[in-house]
Amino acid sequence: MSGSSAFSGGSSARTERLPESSVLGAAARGELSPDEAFERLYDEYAPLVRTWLAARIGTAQAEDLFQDVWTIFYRRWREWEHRPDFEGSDARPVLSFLFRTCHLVLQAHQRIVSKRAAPPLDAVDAPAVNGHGAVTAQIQLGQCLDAARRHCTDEEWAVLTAKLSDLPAGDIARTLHITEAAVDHRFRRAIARMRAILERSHG
Amino acid sequence: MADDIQVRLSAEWGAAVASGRTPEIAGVRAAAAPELASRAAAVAELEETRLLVAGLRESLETRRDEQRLVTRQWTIRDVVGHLASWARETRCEIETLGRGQTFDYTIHFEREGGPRAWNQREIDARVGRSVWQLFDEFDAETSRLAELAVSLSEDEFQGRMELPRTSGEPPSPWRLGLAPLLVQTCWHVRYHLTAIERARSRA
Repeated sequence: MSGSSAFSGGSSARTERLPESSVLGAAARGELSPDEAFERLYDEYAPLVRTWLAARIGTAQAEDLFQDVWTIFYRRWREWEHRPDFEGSDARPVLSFLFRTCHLVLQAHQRIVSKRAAPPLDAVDAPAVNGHGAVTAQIQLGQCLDAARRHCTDEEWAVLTAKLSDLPAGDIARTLHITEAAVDHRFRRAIARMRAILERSHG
Repeated sequence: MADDIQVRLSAEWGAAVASGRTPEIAGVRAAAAPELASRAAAVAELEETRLLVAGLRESLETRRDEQRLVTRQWTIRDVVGHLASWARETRCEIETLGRGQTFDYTIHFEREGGPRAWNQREIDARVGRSVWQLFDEFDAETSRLAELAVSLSEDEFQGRMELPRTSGEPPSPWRLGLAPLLVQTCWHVRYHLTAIERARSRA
């Protein structure tokens, strides 16, 4: 902690929300200490990271992976090199890093689980009526989003949630090892699928 | 209709992000030490270094500047060979310990410059290989490291290993767990990639 009472405690209720580029710029100029800047970034993006993970894997396992993503970023933040182009209003290198790290941690987790016996019972989300009980219990997916979660492929869902989080298509493409055209194609396919489902459900 | 669906999905996504409860930042800070890195985090970091080095490879295919000096003695090609040699050494050390065998050599890290003689010997041993072969070696060895991290037992993952690496006077052996070894290995790769970026930006 930096000792600055204005930023202590990591509470978003007590800190002014700044866009990422402003936080990075302020940190680079020494107006925010590394700890203060980290807190700002945590306040800004922790809910998003938790939602990305929970929507992909369920709340119980998301808790552990959330910690993995943020401890990786915490270590990386200490060696973070600022670049002038990070201060453009559209630049969000931290958001892109967090998205990529979520993806890599999820892949690692799935790889580890598939190598091992069944996970302990307390690591498994309780079954639910719609198959996504724990996620919807603690992270409220609306009707349309929940339908998308159930009807989209995992690849489409990853693209959809990334696009809804305003990640640039290039960053999504690099993380998922697909082209930007494929990102747009998956997004449009997911939207088309949702349109068809909603039209059916409304007769 | 598609726009309406996008607007609705976007609103529901925003609500989902806002609905979750986020863990305290203190938990992230407390768990950030490399010794506490989880298996998933270690594997994710290794896979990220593969992506970062693949990015360097891609840039070399365009720029063809592998002979650019990064340090007074090492070119980009030498650095790639250096990273490949450490990926191989680290993998060999873990496998040797896994077989219950001991080492008939030590690598001594000087206070300044680390194991200079060992590093140079390993670069010299790779003189006849193309930079692409060195990239291949790095990638294959790092992939095997990730596979080891996935497949080793919990005792092996958590236990402390005595490596054939020494530092200090008199020399004392390195004793550390697999997680901090792998996290440190990833940091070492990023350190050299940053040095390459700096060398390129100076040109």
